[in-house]
Amino acid sequence: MSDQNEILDKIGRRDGMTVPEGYFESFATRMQAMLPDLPEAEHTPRKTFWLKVRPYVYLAAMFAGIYCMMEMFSIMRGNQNGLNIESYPTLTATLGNDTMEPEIIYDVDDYEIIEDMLNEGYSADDLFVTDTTFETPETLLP
Amino acid sequence: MNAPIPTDNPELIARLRDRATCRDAFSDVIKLYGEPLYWQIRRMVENHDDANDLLQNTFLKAWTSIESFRGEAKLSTWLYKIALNESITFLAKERRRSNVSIDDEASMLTNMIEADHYIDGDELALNLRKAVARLPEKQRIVFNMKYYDEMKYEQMSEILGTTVGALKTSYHLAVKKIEQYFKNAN
Repeated sequence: MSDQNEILDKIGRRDGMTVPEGYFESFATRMQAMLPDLPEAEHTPRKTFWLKVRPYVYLAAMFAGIYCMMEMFSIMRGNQNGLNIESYPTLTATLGNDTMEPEIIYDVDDYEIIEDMLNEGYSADDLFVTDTTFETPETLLP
Repeated sequence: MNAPIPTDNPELIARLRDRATCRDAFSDVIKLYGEPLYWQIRRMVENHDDANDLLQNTFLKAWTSIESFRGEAKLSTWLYKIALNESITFLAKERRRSNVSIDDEASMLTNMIEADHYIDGDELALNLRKAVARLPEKQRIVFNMKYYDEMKYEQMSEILGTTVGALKTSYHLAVKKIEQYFKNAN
């Protein structure tokens, strides 16, 4: 990739730009006068070994505390046999009773009931309410 | 007009890092870097008055954020970055103020060149400035740094955050476009 160029070689890095007389000298003086004071550096205490490790020590202490609490609760539960099923004799007896069966609700078919009743000697009039039953309001009265 | 970029002076940097000697050291920074930074800015904005204002802003920003420099490596790179950022921000503001799109920036810069009073009457050099003004912003920056400031690609890469390969390509394209501009002009 050759970047040789006749025009550029001829110009020879001239840019034709100038600055006012003594510009750079006066600029440096003006600029120095313009610089504001730097804000005071914040005093930061020197970090000692304890200051560096302190957060980790606190964290470790917190976890140790939680562990101790869990251990303590576990011991307390162990003494009371809190979750042991033998602690609840009624429940144990109930669960151990073989005669206890689950209650089953059968789905009863209306037609089967009617058929059974007809077989037992009931007539159709006994089973069905006819329009004449409600012919007069008096029929509703005892 | 070329002012070579001063190499970083470790003693000056040490004084800058010390709060007691910081102010004096910064005065030396202004004397050392004022001229090269001025030309870098001037070639971007094409006008002495604007370049003067932007140079002041550059040093003020550098001074007020001197604490942040203390952790950085190169003083020259840091100052060039601030100056370049100031120039680009200024041009963007000018485009907005004049309601000019980035594609029409060339005509805005050409007007600035023609309005500039501080010129030595070198027609060929003036035409080169107009040709450079027609380049896209990135190529213009790369061309100015490489051609006028004779900056190394490695340093340009540090300032612009672009790979050396991409910078070489940008410069090559810029030279080709300038060549074409002069061919068309003839």
